Order: sequence, then structure tokens, then C-alpha cells
Amino acid sequence: MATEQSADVVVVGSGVCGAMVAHEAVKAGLSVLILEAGPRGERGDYWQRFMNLPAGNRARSDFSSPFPQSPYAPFPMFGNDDYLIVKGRDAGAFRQGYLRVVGGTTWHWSGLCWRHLPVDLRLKSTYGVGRDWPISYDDFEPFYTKAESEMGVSGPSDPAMQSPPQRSAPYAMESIAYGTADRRFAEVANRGGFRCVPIPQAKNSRLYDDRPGCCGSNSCMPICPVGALYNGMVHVDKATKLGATLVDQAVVYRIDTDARNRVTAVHYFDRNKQSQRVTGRAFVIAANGIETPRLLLYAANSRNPRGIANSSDQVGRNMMDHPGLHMSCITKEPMWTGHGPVQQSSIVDFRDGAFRSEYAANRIMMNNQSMATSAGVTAVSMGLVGKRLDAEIRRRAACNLDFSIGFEVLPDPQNRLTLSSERKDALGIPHPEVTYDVGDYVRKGGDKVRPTLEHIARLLEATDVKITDGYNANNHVMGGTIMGRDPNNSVVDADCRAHDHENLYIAGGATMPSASCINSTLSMVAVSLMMADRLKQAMKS
Amino acid sequence: MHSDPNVPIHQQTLDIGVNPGRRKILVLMIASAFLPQLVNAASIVTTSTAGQNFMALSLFATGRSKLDPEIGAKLFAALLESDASFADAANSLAADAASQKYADVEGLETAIRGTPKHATLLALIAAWYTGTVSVKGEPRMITLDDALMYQPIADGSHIPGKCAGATNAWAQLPYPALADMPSF
Repeated sequence: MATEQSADVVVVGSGVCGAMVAHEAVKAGLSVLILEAGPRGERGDYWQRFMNLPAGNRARSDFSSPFPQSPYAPFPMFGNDDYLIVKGRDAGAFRQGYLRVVGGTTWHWSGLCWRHLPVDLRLKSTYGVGRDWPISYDDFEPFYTKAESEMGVSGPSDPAMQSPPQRSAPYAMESIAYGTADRRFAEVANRGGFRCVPIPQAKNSRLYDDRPGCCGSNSCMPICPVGALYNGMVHVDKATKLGATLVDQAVVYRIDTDARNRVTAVHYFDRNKQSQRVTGRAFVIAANGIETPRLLLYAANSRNPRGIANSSDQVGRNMMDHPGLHMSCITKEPMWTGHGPVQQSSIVDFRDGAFRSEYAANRIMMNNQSMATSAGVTAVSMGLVGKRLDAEIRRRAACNLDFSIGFEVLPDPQNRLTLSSERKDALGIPHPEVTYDVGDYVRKGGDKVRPTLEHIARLLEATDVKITDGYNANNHVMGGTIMGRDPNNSVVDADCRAHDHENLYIAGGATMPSASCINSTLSMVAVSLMMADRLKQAMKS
Repeated sequence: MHSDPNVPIHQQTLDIGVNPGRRKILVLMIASAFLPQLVNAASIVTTSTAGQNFMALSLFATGRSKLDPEIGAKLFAALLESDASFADAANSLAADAASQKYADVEGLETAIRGTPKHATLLALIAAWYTGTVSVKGEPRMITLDDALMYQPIADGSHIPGKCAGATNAWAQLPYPALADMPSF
């Protein structure tokens, strides 16, 4: 039985990865204690806060303000760049958004659940760039299937619409129907010779796991009003219902190790800033792609002076995301984005090809986020009045279109998270600081995609085509505790166990050796389920 | 939770050590700051001359045949708080609107470009359309449901965050033409 001071398995972080691991462990009969840095919240409170946001915040995609933060567990907030410090040639491309609350960032995610392609796990041996995973797609595939079942992923049953088609079981549910904009985009793109497919996503297209089907609120980010969109609270609740103990507002800051470099305890500051010590048999760090390496570096001790699990000096290195570009345009025919979920269809032609030995793969996604509020706020700010104002609002809401293009970045040890020497938080822990350069591999990919984007705009008979120059972040943080066979250039092994500490595991995107060009959450969850499976086997023996 | 209803929602942080019961009460207090008062909610715009001028001007400036006086009262109060000179400028604009010199707000807006009253007119229109007023540099949400900017698109769109219907109810929706402006 877990107490607030001891358990078989201590999990740091209650986002989707930590919650999945906790659930697997408690199902297997292990006692589990979850330590979450941030506070608890309720869906209704979060939704009400979103609905009370000023119009400007709604128009500019403020996804963080509905979520109050603990003063001891800060995270990036809308309009406030104080917390995560970003530097380097492409600093803006790592300006991440995430939450530190019970249930984690999946309170406000897009819900997209792509799998890596099989070749994405063999990038180095196939194209001579990046790294290979120390496992094959065939080894990993069962955990993708389990992740899809646990979260409830709806996706296309036709293999021609699947990316990739290599799967051992159908999707848990059929895809949610396209709204008007995705319907028209898919018709135009497929007729134009592209392969535009429905994006698999963790949103119910029917009642599933006692959660209702999507009601089309088009507010997946920042909050689903009904819980049709999966979020980590589902498995937090499942784990605690089976007996896992969760302590919120518990900021872990210290990790103790013994003479064999096994982890013996972690220490956290509680909500009253008092230090508490927790012992366990096994420890799992699932604190998100930024906070996991930050913690490991800060918790350096005399036996591990470069940081916990860091004899390789790879903790905090190889930071990855999906550098993004956007194309905006005004279509000739009304599209009326905003019906159904916020993102539903994507061109997948450029996920793979021989070109990947030279430049980055990409995916081109039409953004179905409603233009209703941005249309109104923008038209008003133009100083229009009367009938011209109403007409401009209507034109923008119906015909403005945005595309999000995501690229695959390669793991580069110079893309690095360190502890800030300039700023500390309210507990005295240095802010995380990331230095980032997307690299020539991505820049060449960005140059190559522009004619394709212009072609897509012509197919839509669109005008006012604008493609961004600088790369933006996509909040899919990976790589900071990279997986590999060689303990000299990786942090965790193929079981996601730290090379340096036989009872320390890491769950989440930080372990992923390749980013692909698609959203990382399904892969993070699959990795975490694989890690949980290995942990359970190790605990048995 | 920091419970001052004058602190914008998006700046509120969680006080440590708050117990869940007290937090629920604080949430209700914050939510109730946005509920209309039960008595005389609209009185500021129905009984005072300045308020009546504000409503008459608002009808002219937005081109609407009717506007909710309770929303008007809240917008008026916020606009007064944001700009001490608002009442006088609004009174002057109301007189312009009532003078019948201008067929519509477009005519008035063109005529007063370059004058201080122009900013007042645009601020009033922005308040009604976005449902938000900037008060001492901080945006304050007054209304979402009655923000006029959602009316010209009500046939092709809905306010995000509100449920649109049963799952897949959007599968066969039509594409309303730009020229077919809904009536409101």
C-alpha cells in the first residue's frame, strides 16, 4: 500500500505518460505513489475560465490562461515569456507551451495520434541521418495498439487512408466526420494528386470508455467541454481508483542514490514549501520533455556530478520538436472552418522518400480551428464600421484558411537544455534554458515545400497567400533523455531504464530518438506503456 | 485561488494551501462577478440621460434594431471606467446620430475622421462587437454570448467552446454564401 512517503513505484509527473505508467503498475499489484508538481483542477472550472477569456486572448489562441498555476510550479503562460528561456539561431522555434497540473498538458492538446512510420525508427540505417531506435517497429507496434485502445483513438478503417498502414488491429473507433472545411480541402487536395487523409485522434466518435462522443465545440485547445477528447486525467482517475496515491503541488528537486547508484529516495517541496522525502523500489520520471531533463540536471549529487542519469552528458541534449511553418490564404469559395474538431485532415505525401537523406520530411495539415473570434477582432481593429464591418467579419470567418506544416528535426547534441545561470523560480530552482537551431536539414526542407504550398493555394483558388519565414514551435518536446544501446551517447536503454541507475526509468517524449514530422503524443504514450511493461517484469524478478 | 474579480481571469494564480471547499466558493464568487445583478441591472442606461444617449448611439453605431440594455449597462460602465472623457464624447456622438445628418454609421465615421470623437466611436463599436473592454490597460470580458461579432456568421459558425450538436451533426452542413448575410 502506497503512503505519501513510500511505495513500490514512485512516479514523478501525472501527465498522460506518468498516469499510464501508474495505472499499469497498480493493475499489476504494485503500490504506486504519484508526485505532481502542479495543482488539481476540474474540467468545469477550466471551461468556465476559457469562456470568460477576453476576446483578444481567444482570438490569439491563448491555451494556458484557463489553467491556474502553482507559484512553485511555473510553466509558460500566454503573453509571458519569463519562464522557459530560449536562445540560439531559432530560439522562437522552441518557445514551448505546456502545463504543470494534475493530468498534464493533454488537458489542452489537439488530440492528434499519428504513429511513426516503420522507417522512422531506422532513420540512420536507411537515410544516413539522425539515429536509429534500439527497437524495431515490429517490437514497438503492440504498444501503439495498446496506447490507441487505452486513449480511445478514432481513425480510418480503410488501409489506403492510414499512415502508416502497418497495424495489427483496427482503430478503436471510426474517424469523426469531416466538417465543411476539411471536406472541401480533402476533395481538392486528393483531386489534385495529393494524398490527404483523416488524422487519427484521441477523440470519441461515439460513446467510449464511459466518455461521450465529440460535440463539435471546436475548443479541443484549450478545453473539451464534455471529455470526448482524451486527457491524462482519465488514467490518473483509473490509477487512483485502484489504489495509487497522488500528491499534488509536490515539486521534486532532489534524487538520492546509494553506493551502487540505485535511486533510494526523492525529495519534494510540498505546497507549504516544506521538504518531504519519499522512498521506493523503483522510480519513474515522467515530468514532460522540458521538466524531466531539468530535474535530472538539478538533482546532480556527489556521485552524479553532471546530473542524475548523465554519465553520457546527453541529458538535456538532442532537444527536438517539430519546427513549423504556416501558410495563410483567403479562399475563393467559403470553407467555414470550425465544424467538428480543430484539426482533421493532412497531406502525408512528404512523410517519407529518398529525399530524407538530404532534407526533412513534412506533413501539411489544414487547420480547422474556428476563425469566428479572430475574424471579428481583426475586422474591428481595421476600423471598419457598419455593413462593411459585418461583411468583413463574414468574409474572414468563411474564407480565411491556415495551414500548419511540421518538419522533422534531427537530434543534435548542440540543441541543448541547461539550467539558467540568470533566473531561478520561487523555490530557488534555475529556470530551464534551451539553445536551439533547427539545422540546415530543416531549412532545406522548408525551401522545398514552398512551391507545394503555393500549388495547394492555387488548387483552392486562394489569394493573399502568405508563408511564414521563421519557424514556430509545436509543443512536441522530445529527445532530452534519448534512448539508445550505447551508454556513452544515450541516457536510457531500450527499456527506457537509465543506463546509470538500474531502478530509474524515464517515460515520455524525452526518450524518443527520432521525431518524425507528426505529433508525438501517441509515440510518447506507447513508449511509456513499453517502459511500464519492462518495469513490471523487472519488479517481478 | 486569487479571488479578486477585478484581477483578470488569465492572471489568476493558485494560492498554496487553499482547501478544495474554499476553492469552490471562490470559483462561485468569481463566476458571480459576471452574472447580471438581480435588481436594476440595466438602470444605468435606462434612467440616466448619459445612459440613454449611450444606448441610442449604440443602436445607430452598430446598425442593430435592438440591443440588450443589461449588456449595454455593463459595457457603458466599463467604458466610463476606461476613459474619463467617454461620457461627454458619447453624448456628442449621440447628438450627431440624432441630428439625421448621417444616413448611417458609415457616414458619421467618415465625417469625424481625424477628430477625438472618432476614437470614441470605434471604441464603442469594438466594445459591442467583441464583448471586451480594455480598462486601465487590462482587457475585461463583459459578454461572450452577446458579442455582436458572432451575429454576421451565425449561419456558418458557432462560438467555440459551446457544443454544436450530436457527434457528426456537422457532416452534411452546407456552405452559406458570403452574400447571404443572416438577419439580426
